[in-house]
Amino acid sequence: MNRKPISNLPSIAIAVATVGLLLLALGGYLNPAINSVLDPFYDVQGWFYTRFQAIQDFINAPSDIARLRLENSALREENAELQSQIIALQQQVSEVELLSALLDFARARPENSYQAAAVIGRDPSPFLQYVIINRGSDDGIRRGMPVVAQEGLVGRISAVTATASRVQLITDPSSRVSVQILPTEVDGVLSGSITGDLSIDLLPQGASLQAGDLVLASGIGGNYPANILIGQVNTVRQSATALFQTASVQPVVDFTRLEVVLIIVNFQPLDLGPLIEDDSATP
Amino acid sequence: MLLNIVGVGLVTLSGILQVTLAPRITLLQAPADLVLLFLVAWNLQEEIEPKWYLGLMGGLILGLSSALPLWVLLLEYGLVGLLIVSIRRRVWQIPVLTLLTATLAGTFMVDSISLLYLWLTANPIDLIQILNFVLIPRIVFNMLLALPAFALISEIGKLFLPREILQ
Repeated sequence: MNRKPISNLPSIAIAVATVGLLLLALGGYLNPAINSVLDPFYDVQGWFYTRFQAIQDFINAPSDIARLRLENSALREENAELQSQIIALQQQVSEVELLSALLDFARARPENSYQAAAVIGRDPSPFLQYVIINRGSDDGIRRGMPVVAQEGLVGRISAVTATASRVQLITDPSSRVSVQILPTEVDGVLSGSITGDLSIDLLPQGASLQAGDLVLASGIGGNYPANILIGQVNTVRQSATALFQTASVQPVVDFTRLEVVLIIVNFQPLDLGPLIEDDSATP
Repeated sequence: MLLNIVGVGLVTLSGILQVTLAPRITLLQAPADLVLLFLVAWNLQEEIEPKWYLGLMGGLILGLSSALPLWVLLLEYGLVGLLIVSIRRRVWQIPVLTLLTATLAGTFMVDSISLLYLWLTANPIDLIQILNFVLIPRIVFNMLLALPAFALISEIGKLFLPREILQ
């Protein structure tokens, strides 16, 4: 009889060892041993991988650079386009704000009819304070019509062509506006100057004026509608020997930055010329 | 002929810039007189034949936008044109001093005639304010810009000059 238990012994031993190793591995007892084997392996693998990657980058670099440059130029172009869009949108926002402010002004005075106009130029003479606007007789603009901005009074139309008009600002040295000062309700005459500063003359000596008092068009004389804001009293000059007080005025309108104005088209200025001529003709 | 057309075009352009751009850039209350600067720079170019009537053209362009009567501006800039041409004829070469003298005299002439007209038409004139805030700053501003304007006009002129003149 042949007995072969001894020949199966290695197989059984291998199986037992395998099962034992599996059990040890499952139990986590082999981790230090596995790590000590795998770590050098990973190091070697990483070394080869990085070298190979470097070589691959070196070989493919020209095409990548060209692609990156293309992408870069495309992104720059897109960036420039977006920047220009931002600027255009900012301009639109400021225009909308300006127009809505003008609309608010117009809504606050529903009795008046308005025509909006853009400022397109200024008088070339440094001694005069006039602006040119892009509305003329074709748009119903007539000489003498008052011009306002969202903050307050700007001036009046002094000359008209078919498509443009010239506006005499209230800061012009020859401009005169009848004004009323609130809360004292004192009347005076506002005049401009070469420097663009505003001052009020013919204020009664007894009137008590203070800095910060409001200055409004009084409507006297018929050149401007009443109750349009002009500015605030800045300083008051009083002299015991003078007949009247004078006051300097801080205008509410920034005349250096006028862009869009409103013309009051339903206001009829009074022409006192014939009356003055009649008076002078009377002996 | 071509230079005359270029001259008229440039004086028109300087007139438009005078109304639109110059009032935004001021020294105190005084903007630069771009038309005057062009007239001085153009008429003092050695290679270019001076034309006094370019002054009339400048006055006409400004007269369309100004509240001053057209004839005042025609007179002002026409006289400036004549002044520069006469300076050019009396001076052999064009040194910097001549350029500055022409700018100074031209500015003074233009502003004096304007002031004289305003005074005659009973406009309120505060001479101290005018001297401090307009006249002196404007003279300084124009003289500061005279040299760059001369160089710029010289370069523009070269673009249109015949090649044989440049050589």
